[in-house]
Order: sequence, then structure tokens, then C-alpha cells
Amino acid sequence: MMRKNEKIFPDIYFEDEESIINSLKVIKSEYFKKAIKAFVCIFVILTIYLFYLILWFQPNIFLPNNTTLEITSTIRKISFNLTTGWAFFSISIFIIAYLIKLIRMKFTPSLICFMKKEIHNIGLKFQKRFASSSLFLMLNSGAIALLIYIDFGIIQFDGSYIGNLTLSLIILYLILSITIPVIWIFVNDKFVAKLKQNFFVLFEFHYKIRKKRGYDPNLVGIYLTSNRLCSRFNKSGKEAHSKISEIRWLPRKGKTNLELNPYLHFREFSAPVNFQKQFLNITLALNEWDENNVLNHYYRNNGYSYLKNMKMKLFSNENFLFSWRIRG
Amino acid sequence: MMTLSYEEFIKKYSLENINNKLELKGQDKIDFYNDLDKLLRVICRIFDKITNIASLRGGQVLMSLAKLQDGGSVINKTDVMRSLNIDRLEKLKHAFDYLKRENYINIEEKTEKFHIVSLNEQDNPDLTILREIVQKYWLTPEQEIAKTRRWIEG
Repeated sequence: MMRKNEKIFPDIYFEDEESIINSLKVIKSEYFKKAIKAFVCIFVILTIYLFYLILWFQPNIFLPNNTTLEITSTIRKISFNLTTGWAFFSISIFIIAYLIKLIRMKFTPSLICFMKKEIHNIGLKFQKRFASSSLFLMLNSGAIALLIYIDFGIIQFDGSYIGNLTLSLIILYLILSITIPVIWIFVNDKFVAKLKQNFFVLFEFHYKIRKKRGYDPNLVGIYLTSNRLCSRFNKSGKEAHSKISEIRWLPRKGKTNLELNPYLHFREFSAPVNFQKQFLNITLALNEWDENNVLNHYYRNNGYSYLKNMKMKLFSNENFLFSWRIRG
Repeated sequence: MMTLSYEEFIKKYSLENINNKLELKGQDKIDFYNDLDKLLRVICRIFDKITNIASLRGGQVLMSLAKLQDGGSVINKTDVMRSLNIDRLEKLKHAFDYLKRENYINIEEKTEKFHIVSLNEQDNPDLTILREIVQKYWLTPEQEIAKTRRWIEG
């Protein structure tokens, strides 16, 4: 049964030209609404932060002329110490980075609904894996705790070697407490379908937003990326990856030709209409990779005879496509 | 000229019997090469047709029908929908309409809702090879999901 607070999104449909054009219109309008909301939020946050900075440096600017020095200094003490300054700064940076990510990530409510349905049809769950907020909370509470100690004079720096070293370490921690969650937002916050332990598929939505009119079947696409398989320098892993990718027609390169990732992944690209088929393609590639690893494991433990038996069994199955090469 | 089907090709040169030595000389060798060449040309044509089918689901419906015709049982539109793991029959409407119009499939409307579908192999003999290849090598999305589930739960 549908929950009361669950919103109903327009049903998007990619079966013929007309339905694709209509669905694209829905996606585009939802995306623009989402982007405008995010831009407004960024503007509001920046305005508040600017207001705060003005108050920090010119506290009397917004106070009545008859305000005593004592009141001004109390306000300064409460509002403009290291702790509140840092909290304000880090929260603003984190929220702005999060909103930029939302603008860049072109998923819209209807599309998420569509993907949920498609993956549910296979019997799996489409989940949001946004761990950056908890990471930010954890690291930033540590930073704020340190700054409270400094504000209350519990931690003091006397200019000695130890004092300078502690100060440098605290500054380094403060920088990391904001940079790690921000990097995490852009690299790891994604939608995911969990298959089994250590196996999952990540989704990234591609949408040519600048394209104004007309029909283009490649206008909307979904990039699928598997979990990390093994190091790029693992020779047998690379060979297995290459064979499976070749048989299943999986693209070897990601969105960009510049490949800095030291690990191997399976990748696939799909349009909404063939999403399920492409998703199954990458899932079965992972299945073959897993079977290959199981074989490797038994080969190491039980030697050649076990592998020979397994090989005979697997080759008797006509669906097993990956030809096994015995090494050594 | 009638296309030699894959099964006929195997039988013609007794390829299914692993103990028989395949010795081809003179004209036989030329015939073997020509038959193989024809077979590959047909396969190429099939893929060319499938990738150019206007309806987006058309190719999948043809593949599904070819696969389901394995047992020789009656196939209806819902069977095709299930084998492709599609949630609604409306999604296949354009594909069925297109394939019927282009004479690739036959649709027999028994009742308003029960429509028997089959490949039109009489008018398109190439589809026999498609059926043979698909039945032997292709997994339907339904079968792929079952395979995935076995792996995930296993």
C-alpha cells in the first residue's frame, strides 16, 4: 500500500518516439526545478555567510548607536569565537558542495521512480548511498570539540616546538575534516543496487541538458559501474576482466579516456529503454568474475586435479562463456 | 534459392558425430565453404535487420518469440512479455504492431485478449536460422534474472 506522504511522480515511458519526447520534457522540467531550488539555497547560504562576516569585522554596523561596549563585547564573545566561526564556515561549505553535487547529478524524482521500478522487476533494490553527511558530522564534531577547548583556554599554544606541532596538527585536522567529506560527496555519493556481499552496481545519470528540442535517443543515458574488482596491475585479473568485457561487449573505458583509477571495474552504458538488459549484462559479468575467483581460490587450495574437474563441468555448460586458461 | 538452415548444415556434413573424420576434397570443399559463407551472410543479415527495426522493442520480441518456439507450444503475447521481464503489455504494443505490419510475425486473435503469436518463417526463411541460433545460445531476460538470483542467493 502506498504511504500517505509518498509523492506520486509522472510516469515516464520510453517505448516510442512520442513517449520519449514527453518523458524528456518531464525530466527536463524536474531537473530545472531542482537546479533552481539548489541555486536559491546556495545564494541564501552565501548571503547569510557574508552577513556573518560583516558582523564579525564590523559588529556595530547593525547595532543601535546607544549599545554599550559591554553588550557589543558579549555579542562578539558568543557569536564570533573560533567554534561558531568554524561551524558556520564548514557547514556552509559542506551544504554548498552537496547542492553543487545535486545540480551535477542529473537524477530527477520521476527518473528515480522509473529506475526503482525497473530494478524492483529484477527483484533487487535501488538504494541511495550518501554517506558523506555522517562522515562530515563525525569529523566536524571532532573539529568543533577541539575548537571549544581552544576557545575556553583548555588548549593553549606557548610558541614552543610541541605547541607549534600541536597547532599544525590541529590546522591539518580542520582542513581534512572539511576536504574529506567534500571529496566524498563528489566521488562516493551515488545510487546503488546491492547484489550480494562485496558486489554492487553504481549508477550515474547522463543527460544532455543543453539540447533544446527534437528527438535524440542518446539524450538520456545511465552509466553503470561495478564495484572494484582488483588492482589494474594484477595480470590474471586484468586478463579475466578483459575476456569477460570482450564477450559481454562491455566498454573498457569510463566516461573519460583519461583513466587514473588504479582498480578495475566493469562498466556499461544504457538508455532507459534497454536499462534492464544492460543491468543484467553487467550483473552477469560480475557473476562470471565471481565464478572465476572461486575457481582460482580452489585451484590455489586444491591444485590442478580439482580445477580440471571444474573445468570439465563448466565447459559442459553451454552458457559458460569465459574460457579458462590454466597457468603454471 | 532456399537458405540452408544451421541444423541442415550440421547434418549435411555429419558434424554432430565427433568420431567421424571430416574429409573434404574438391567440390565438397567448395560446397562446404559456400554453405558456411551463406550461413554467415544470413546471420549478418539477421543482425542488420534486428538493429534496424523501427520499433525499439521489435528485436527483443523477435528473439523472445524465437526462443519460446522451442517446445512447439502455443505462445501468446503475455508469454513474450514474461520472457522479456516487462511489467506491462502496452510497452510491447508498438513492437507487435510493427512486426505484424512488416510481416515478420503472425498474430492470431483468438479472443479480444488472447492473441497467439509466432514467427513468420514461411515468408522469411532467414528467421529459421534466427530461431535455431537463439534457441541454442540466447538467454531471455527472464532466464538471466533466474541465473542472477541463483548467484545472489547461492
